[in-house]
Amino acid sequence: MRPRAWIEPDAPLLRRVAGIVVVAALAAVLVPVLGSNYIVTFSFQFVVWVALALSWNVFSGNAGYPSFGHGVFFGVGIYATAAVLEHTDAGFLVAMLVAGLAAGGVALVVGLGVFASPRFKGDLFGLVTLALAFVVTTVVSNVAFLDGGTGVFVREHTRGLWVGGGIRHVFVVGVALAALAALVALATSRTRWGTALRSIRDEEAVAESLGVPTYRYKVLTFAVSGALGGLIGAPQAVYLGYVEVGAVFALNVPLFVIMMTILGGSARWWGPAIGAAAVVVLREVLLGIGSPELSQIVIGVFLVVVIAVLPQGISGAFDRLRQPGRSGVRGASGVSR
Amino acid sequence: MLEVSDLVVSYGEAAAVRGVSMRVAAGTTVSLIGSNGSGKTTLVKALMGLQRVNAGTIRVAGEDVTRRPAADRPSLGVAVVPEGRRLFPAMTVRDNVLMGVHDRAARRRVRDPLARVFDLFPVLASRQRQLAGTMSGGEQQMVALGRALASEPRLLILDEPSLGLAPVIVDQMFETIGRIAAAGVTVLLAEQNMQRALELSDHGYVLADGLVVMDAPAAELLTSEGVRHAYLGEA
Repeated sequence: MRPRAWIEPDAPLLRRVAGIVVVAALAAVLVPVLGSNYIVTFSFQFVVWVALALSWNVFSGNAGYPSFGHGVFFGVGIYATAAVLEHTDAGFLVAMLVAGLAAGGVALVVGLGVFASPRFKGDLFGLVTLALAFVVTTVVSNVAFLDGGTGVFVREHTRGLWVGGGIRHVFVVGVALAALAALVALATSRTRWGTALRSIRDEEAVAESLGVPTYRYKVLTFAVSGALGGLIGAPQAVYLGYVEVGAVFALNVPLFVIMMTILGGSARWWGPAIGAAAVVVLREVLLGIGSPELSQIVIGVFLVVVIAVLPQGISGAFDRLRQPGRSGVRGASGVSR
Repeated sequence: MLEVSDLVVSYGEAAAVRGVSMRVAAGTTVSLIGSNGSGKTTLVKALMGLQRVNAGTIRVAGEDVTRRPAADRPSLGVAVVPEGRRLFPAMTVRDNVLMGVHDRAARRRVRDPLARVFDLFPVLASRQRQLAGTMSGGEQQMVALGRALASEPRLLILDEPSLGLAPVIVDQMFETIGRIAAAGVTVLLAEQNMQRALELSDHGYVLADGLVVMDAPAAELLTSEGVRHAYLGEA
């Protein structure tokens, strides 16, 4: 038996890739055709949160570096999209590409600096990423090209575009990006890349001495995670129609994403998606009852209960149900997670 | 195989290693004896590339690796069993062992790392899927050894392998280290348990207060009452 290749091309992996593609394709066709405006809008918000939670987990969950900066990458993506649509005729796909590159670039620069010092771990890393949110907010609100404090009416610039043709079109983009985030998340669970990230989470110094170039892994994966967060900002900019700094860079984005990942658990790559589903559905149901305050309280209590009862989150509990005892056999390939 | 010259490692003002020179010839087993705070663990960290060196050089097979990052060690054929084992607790036994051949050069060199390790520790073969964090101390030490040996290192550095293990497990551990050395691997064994370590070794260095205070063939150190009294506080 050879040691595992970078990607182990086993049947379960191919099945999972196919599964993600098929589910996304079905959703992209069925939801816009069959759903009401309300359903499609709700589904769009749902896939945005799924993409955000999965992409956050790619770096922060796997490598054990909780970041409060995911809202920044999402926001940079939103503003990059708005700027491209406002100032050029390049179209939505280019705007989306720029959104991903801009957010990934910010993450890359931050990562190159932050990870160069071994001091920025755990809480300190969290604080740095939190500070990043304030820095970026200040920059965006003072640069007239991006915002300059007045906000941007994206809606005025998407009229002639396909993506401007209503929530159904925006949803299709959202679902495609959620599928992309899912594929990357799947990749981190089943490749040497993922094992390296988890070795960093568990024992970073030992990982380094075993030949894992931890700095390179952290910098690049943080950039990938940021780029995914920025990409999903593109359809969000179109969906919002009008973007302004206060709402776009609000801290509820990173907090929600972290909450979703804790809820869903990061024991499995799809854990954060389950957490996102739980929060989004719960919030919608509670809002339907009519009280946003009540919904906040109930979600908060729900989170506390889940942490108390299921320390590994929902996906961890699923694992235990499926294989009582810890030494159960896990798939033919024997790759964990 | 390993040559350390005038090595100095400081934490801020305080020097933990104050000019250590030592040699581990290829194919031999050398003990590094010293109590807590003797500078032993700092020295091992420096050898691993995890601690910045202030002065002096570290050579592996003639190559100066003093400033090379830790991640280069596997490609030089150096593997370490760190103090306290430090496994990846949330990974399976199998994945822990495979982390030992994460390095590209190691993967190219070793044909079947799992078979090799399970050959040495048959009990691990049946527990491949168990999470390393759920195993007993002795089993974890086997996984740690397996992880280090997976890459077929030329030089194996062990930091306090007997620490925290039951006496009967300690016996097995030293017996295993003896077998590894007999198979031709060069071994550097940092230990507080000097009796057991020296019994396995060709040569010994006694470290105290960041300095080599004694350096002699192991058999000589074993019979030296002075070593016990002065540096280990043994009766």
